[in-house]
Amino acid sequence: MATQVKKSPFYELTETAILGTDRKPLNRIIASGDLGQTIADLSLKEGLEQSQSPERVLLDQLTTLSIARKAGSHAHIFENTIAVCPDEKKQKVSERSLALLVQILALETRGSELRPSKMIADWLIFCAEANQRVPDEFVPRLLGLGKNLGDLHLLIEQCCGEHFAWLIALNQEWNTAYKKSTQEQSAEADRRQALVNIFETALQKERYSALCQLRAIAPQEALAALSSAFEKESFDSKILFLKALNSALSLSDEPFLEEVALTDRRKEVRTQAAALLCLITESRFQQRMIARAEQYLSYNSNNKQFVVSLPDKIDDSMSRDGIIENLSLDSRLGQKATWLCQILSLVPTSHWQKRFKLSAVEILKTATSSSEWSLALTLALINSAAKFGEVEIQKAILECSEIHLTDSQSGLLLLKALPHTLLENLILQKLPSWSQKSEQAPRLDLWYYLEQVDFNWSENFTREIMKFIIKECREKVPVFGHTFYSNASIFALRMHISAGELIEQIAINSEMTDVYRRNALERMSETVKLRYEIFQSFKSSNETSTISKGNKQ
Amino acid sequence: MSIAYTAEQILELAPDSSAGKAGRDLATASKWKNLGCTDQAIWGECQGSGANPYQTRADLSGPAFKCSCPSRKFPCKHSLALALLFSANQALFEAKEAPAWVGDWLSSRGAKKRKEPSEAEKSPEQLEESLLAKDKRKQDRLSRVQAGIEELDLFLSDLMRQGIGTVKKQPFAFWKSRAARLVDAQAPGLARLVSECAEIIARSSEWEDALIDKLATINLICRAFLKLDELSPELKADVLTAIGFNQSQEELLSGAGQCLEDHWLVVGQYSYTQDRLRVQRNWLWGKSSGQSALILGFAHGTAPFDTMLIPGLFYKGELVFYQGSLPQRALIKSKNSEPAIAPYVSGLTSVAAALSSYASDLAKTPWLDTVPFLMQEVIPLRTPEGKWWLVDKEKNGLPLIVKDDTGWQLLSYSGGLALSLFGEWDGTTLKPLAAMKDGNYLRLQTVEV
Repeated sequence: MATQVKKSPFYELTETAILGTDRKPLNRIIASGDLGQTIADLSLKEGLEQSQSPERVLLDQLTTLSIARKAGSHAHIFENTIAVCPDEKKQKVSERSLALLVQILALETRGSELRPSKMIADWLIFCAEANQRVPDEFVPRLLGLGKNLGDLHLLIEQCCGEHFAWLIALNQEWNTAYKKSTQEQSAEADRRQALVNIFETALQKERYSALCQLRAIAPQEALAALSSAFEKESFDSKILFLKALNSALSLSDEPFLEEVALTDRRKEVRTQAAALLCLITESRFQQRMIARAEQYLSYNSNNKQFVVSLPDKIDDSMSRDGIIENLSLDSRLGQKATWLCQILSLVPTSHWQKRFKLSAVEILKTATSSSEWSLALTLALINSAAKFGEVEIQKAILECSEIHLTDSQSGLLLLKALPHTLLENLILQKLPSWSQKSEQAPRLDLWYYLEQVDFNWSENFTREIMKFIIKECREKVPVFGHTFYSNASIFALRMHISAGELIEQIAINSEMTDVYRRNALERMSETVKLRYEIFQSFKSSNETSTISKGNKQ
Repeated sequence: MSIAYTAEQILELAPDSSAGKAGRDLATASKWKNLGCTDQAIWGECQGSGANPYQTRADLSGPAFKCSCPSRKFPCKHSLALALLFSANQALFEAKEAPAWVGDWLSSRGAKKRKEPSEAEKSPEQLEESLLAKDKRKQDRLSRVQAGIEELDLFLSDLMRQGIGTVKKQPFAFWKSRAARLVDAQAPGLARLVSECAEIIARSSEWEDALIDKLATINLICRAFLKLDELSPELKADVLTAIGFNQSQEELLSGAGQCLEDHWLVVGQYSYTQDRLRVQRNWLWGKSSGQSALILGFAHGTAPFDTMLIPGLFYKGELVFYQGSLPQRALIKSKNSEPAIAPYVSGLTSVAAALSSYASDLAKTPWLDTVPFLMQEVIPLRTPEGKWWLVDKEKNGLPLIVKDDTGWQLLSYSGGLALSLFGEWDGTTLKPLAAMKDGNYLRLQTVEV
């Protein structure tokens, strides 16, 4: 026989209220205590007066119950409490610095622009450099903000003081997100293992990042991790992960690249493997490629011309080595010229210098004057200069007036590959030529050059560029073009901030009718001012603390 | 000048975030000229898009602002920028005699404060006539309310007969039309409570108990109204207020209300929109008296609230309390900023004491909606299930109703150590509005309930 659970009389009241007196008639309540007595007394009133219907009695009983429930609330008892956060050792950021961080966080993101994230990174860098921290109550906001921004984890940790470790231990989501950066600081072996684990279990983007990090600290372990997983990877993952081997390449990578990656059925994977193998000095691939190139390219010292003789079709060995038959490299190149370009791109220019006993300048000059093959040869030399980083040919290309690097994909790749000082010098050298005499802009080339390179500009370079822009704005009516908006915004984010004081000199007046230029200059000015203000706020708070320390001493 | 607000406090006054941002952008010395100050005010001229610069002035003891710009926002970006500039660098403001456009404004503010109530200007005959008319209006209204309550009583009885389980399927209009009838019957307080029933059903999965509590409150007020003549004057005032009768501010200020002078800390503030009307709730706490006071502000659209109070600041002044058995709502009779005092007031030190105090308040006014709790030496914590609690020294806890972001902010602010917390207790959960620690004040974001 099933046992019936006895319901509380108060529960019954609620049940009657939910079902209604039509479906569940109101029962007389019998309960102990003052509350029970009061409710029972109310039951007795039913029917005594005309107004005392069962519904009215029910309402009064519920009312009594509701008040009793509120008035009789009991505290919940906790057995455990939480650990206390260790005392903070760092000084809090100034109110001004914090207000600027709040201002940055409130910035609207337009499209995919980098501004907010770059500004946050800037702020965190200044804060970390000043050895300061955000106020306690701000830490969760920062942790929430940066949980998916792995690059900022270390900075955030530095800017949150002792609260960082204390809070992430209490929050599972933060703990998982920030665990990686904590792991990175643990012992080297643990760190390597952690990176291997991430590579084995995480998503593609994180796996690539972990593989790059592992390659930097333990190249062979990175190679082993990739070798063991390579066959099962998708083709796009294979291409991406092969790129991670670009650093610390050595002969020990050759067996994997030559025998596994270069035999892959996808030509894109083979091309990527070839791009790596050619960088390994004395690798079988490099020797094959040099031998192949020598077969197709020779030098006629009499007329100082290169002579090209290519086969009618590419053979299996070329195809295996990543040479693609129908590659769309440049619309100005024909099919055979594309083969030539692909092959020569994989050979260092220094090889030709030795073989033909020519300087880099002479090789370039000969290439540009080699009639029908000149474009293929020039592009190959540019590619080679970008790939092998040989300074002599790089300088020769930069000094060659016939080459416009921004005209081709190869040129842009070289720009990105140039050492920073070389690129800065190149741009400074070209500046006067971009300042035109007519009432026109500094040519768009300047902004193309600036945009192509993703690194933080040096102070001297930034000052020179700023002075140039100030001068151009004052003296002319520049037509910067429709890309100026993004160009100027990016420049404002990358420029060395100590040159920010110059921004006040950029003349933006309300009479400017060119909306593109005015908006762009205003945007640039706003960004630089904000960055400069952040820089100044930390600088001044550091000076104040140094003065106060000095006074104490 | 002694009164200086922090940038954060000034930005609290911004009518919206864009005004705050614009104010921040304008708060640079290069955009201003003729900056000046006296002990009472600051002023400056800011070049806008017009030919003449805008003349901006602020009486920071209020604070109060005036600007010649055409903006409908109040305070405008120029006013905010002027105050922000003063907060950042007082040296930019030259101490000098106020120009006429500042002096005139300050004088007119002083004149407004001194203005006598209009009732006093009436002759004895006019006064008697006015009182008679007022009494008649009140009687007429009471009759209409009575009729409305009788109708509401029938509605509640029907609801009990059919069961509240049936209302889940009812449209919003089911409650809205009932509330509208109460508005017609001139019982807006009851109308609001009936509207809230619809919101309870819509937002919560476990709505039955909450709805029963709300219906109980409505029933209690209705029952009390029907026995109005048998109640004490204080309780009578409470019932009428709950129904929606307003107590005349003029009468309260002229002596009908209980007056209390103290240093008042603005311990909590939040605003919400109700029927297109913006309502601001300001909780004040008396430093010496330990008395709490609720100052309500109302505004339509982007209009400013009639009273500007900055959370975390002390004001020295006199408050006049509305009549009732539990004086809570008050009016400001006079106030002056006292920003130099660190935000600290003493409150309850245990959860048991807080619950006991609530029970005794409930005994005085059983339809009490929320009461202010100022808890001292409490620690916020989060359970593994993600619930937030406030725990005292005896390890007794009160449940918090708080957004997760705010909960973490509060926890981080405490660092696992005891702090003071102010919030509104509704009988089941505490809505935290502010935390205080080591003489610092932290305003917390509220959750819409």
